[in-house]
Amino acid sequence: MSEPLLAVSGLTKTFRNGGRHVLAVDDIGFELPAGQTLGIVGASGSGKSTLARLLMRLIPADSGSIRFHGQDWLALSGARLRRARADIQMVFQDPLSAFNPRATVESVLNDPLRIHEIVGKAERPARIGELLDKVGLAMSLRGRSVLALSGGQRQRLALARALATRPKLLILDEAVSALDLSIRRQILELLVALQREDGVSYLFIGHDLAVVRAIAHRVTVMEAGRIVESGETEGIIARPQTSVTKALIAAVPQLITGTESRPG
Amino acid sequence: MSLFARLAAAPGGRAGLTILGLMAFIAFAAPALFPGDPLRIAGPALLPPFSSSEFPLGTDRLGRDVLACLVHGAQISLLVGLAAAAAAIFVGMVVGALAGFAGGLVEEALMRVVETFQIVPGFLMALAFASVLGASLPIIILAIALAAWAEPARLTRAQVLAIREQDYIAAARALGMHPLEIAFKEILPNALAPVLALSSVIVAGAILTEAALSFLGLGDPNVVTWGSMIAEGRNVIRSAPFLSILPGLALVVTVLGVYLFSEGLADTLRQNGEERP
Ligand SMILES: Nc1ncnc2c1ncn2[C@@H]1O[C@H](COP(=O)(O)OP(=O)(O)OP(=O)(O)O)[C@@H](O)[C@H]1O
Ligand SMILES: [Mg+2]
Repeated sequence: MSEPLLAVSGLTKTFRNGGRHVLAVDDIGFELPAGQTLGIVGASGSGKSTLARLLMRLIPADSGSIRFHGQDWLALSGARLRRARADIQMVFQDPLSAFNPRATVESVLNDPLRIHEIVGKAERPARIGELLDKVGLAMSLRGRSVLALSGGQRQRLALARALATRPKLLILDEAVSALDLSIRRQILELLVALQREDGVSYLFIGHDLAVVRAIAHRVTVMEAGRIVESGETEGIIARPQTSVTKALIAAVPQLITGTESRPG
Repeated sequence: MSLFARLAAAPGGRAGLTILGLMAFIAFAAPALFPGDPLRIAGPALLPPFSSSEFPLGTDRLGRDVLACLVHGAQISLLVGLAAAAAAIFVGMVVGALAGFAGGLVEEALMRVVETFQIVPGFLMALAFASVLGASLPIIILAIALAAWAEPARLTRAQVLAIREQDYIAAARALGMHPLEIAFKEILPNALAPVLALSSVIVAGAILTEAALSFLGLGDPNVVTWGSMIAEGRNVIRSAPFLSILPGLALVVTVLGVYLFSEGLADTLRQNGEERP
C-alpha cells in the first residue's frame, strides 16, 4: 500500500494561560489516505479546532509529527511553507470572523488566485465566477462587502476561498453547521463530487454525527484532547464502544432510524 | 451617497462642517482680508465693539484692531492644532504599530517610553519643553505633539495585538500570504481606523494647549494668537472684558466645530461599514 496523504502521530498541544494549563490536543495519531474523508467528532472543547490549527501550521505543536504528501510537514518554513500551503486549505468554524471586514466577495477569492498564481491576472475574473458558481453563490454578490453576506453565504464563500488553490487536503471545521438543510445537502453533494473528480481528501470536523455520516468514510471520536474511538463510520455508529460516542449518537434521533448516509 | 453628502446630512456633522469650513476660509483669507501686520497700532486705544465702522470689534489697549487679530489668530490656531495633531498621530501610530508587530523586548522598551509620556501631564510637558527650548511656532508644535502622541501609540498597539488574533489573519496566513502583506493590508488598515477617530480629540486638545501656552506667554511673540489676546485682555479685564471674551468665544466655537465634525464623521463611517452595498 502506498503512503497515506496525511499521517499524524503523537501530536500534542498545551495552552498556557497564566498559571492554567489546558491540554487541548493530547497524543493524537491517525492516517488519512488520498481521496478519503475522515470525520472528527467530539463535544465542544474536545480539541477539534485546535487539531485543525495544528495541521494548518497556524499554531506550533509541542511535540509529534505530521507527514503530508510525502514530506515532513512540520519541517517546512518561510517561503517554502507559504508555497506548500496551497495544498492544505481550511474552512474556519466561525464564518463571521474569517474575513477581513474591509474585503469584498471578489477580493476574498482573488487573494488565493493571486498569491499562488493559480491563473494569470486576465483569467482571474472568470475563475472567480466559476468558484462562486461552484458553491452556489450569485454573481451579483461579487462586489459586495463580506459584512453584507448572510451566515450561510459567508460559509459558502469560505468554502470557495479554500477551493481556489485546488488543495489536496481540505479541513472543514463545522463547515456546514450554519447552512439550512437544502443548502447543506447541496454543499455535501458538491464535496462528494469534487472528491470523486479530483481526489481531494477531507478532514471533516463536526459534532452532528448524522452530517458526518453523510460524508466520512472513517470517523474519529475525541474527548478532552484524546482519541477515544475510531473506525469505519457505519461500524462506529452501529456498535459504539464508549459513552462519549453513545452520547453523540443519542443527540441525533434520525441516526437510529438511519435516513442519511453517504451518497455516491 | 458620498461620505461628504452623508456627513452634511447629519445635523451635528453639518454644524461642524460649517464651523470648520468658515474657520478654514477665514484662516486662509486672513492676509487678504486684513493685509499687513495685525499687531500694528491702527487706531485709538480701547474702542468698544460696534462703535466704529473702521474697527467693528473695537481696539485693544494699544489701539490694535481686534477683528484683524482674531482673524489672523484663527490661522495660527488651526495651523498649530492640525500640525501638532498630525505629528502626534503619525508618531503614535508608527511607534504603536512597531511595538505591536515586534513584540518581545522591543515592545517592552517602546511601551515603557509611551507610559512615561502618559504619566506626565501633557500640558506640563509641553510647558516645560517650550520654556526650555524657547518660543517659536515649530517648537510649540513639537511640544504639543510630544504631549499628545502617547495615546494614539497605546491604542494602535492594542488594536494590532487584538486584530492579530482574529480568524481572518489566520485565514490569510493559511492562504500563504506574505507576512508583510498581512501587516500592511490586513492588520494596519483595520487597526488605524479607531486611531484616526481619536484625531478630533487630539486636534481640539492641541488648539487648547496652544492657547494656554500663549496665554502663559510661552507662544511665539511675533504672531498673534487667541491665547495671547486673552492674556493681553486680562490686564484691562474690568474696563474692557470683551478683549478677553471675544478670543475666548472664537476658541470655544472652533473646538466645538472640531468635535461636532469628528462625531459626525465617526457616525457616518460607522453607517458606511454597515450599509456598504
Ligand atoms: N488560544 C487558546 N488559548 C487557550 N486555550 C485555548 C485556546 N484555544 C483553545 N483553547 C482551549 O482548548 C480546548 C479545546 O478547544 P477547541 O477550540 O479545540 O475545541 P473544539 O473541539 O473545537 O470545540 P467546539 O466544538 O466548541 O468548536 C478548550 O478547552 C479551549 O478552551
Ligand atoms: Mg471548534
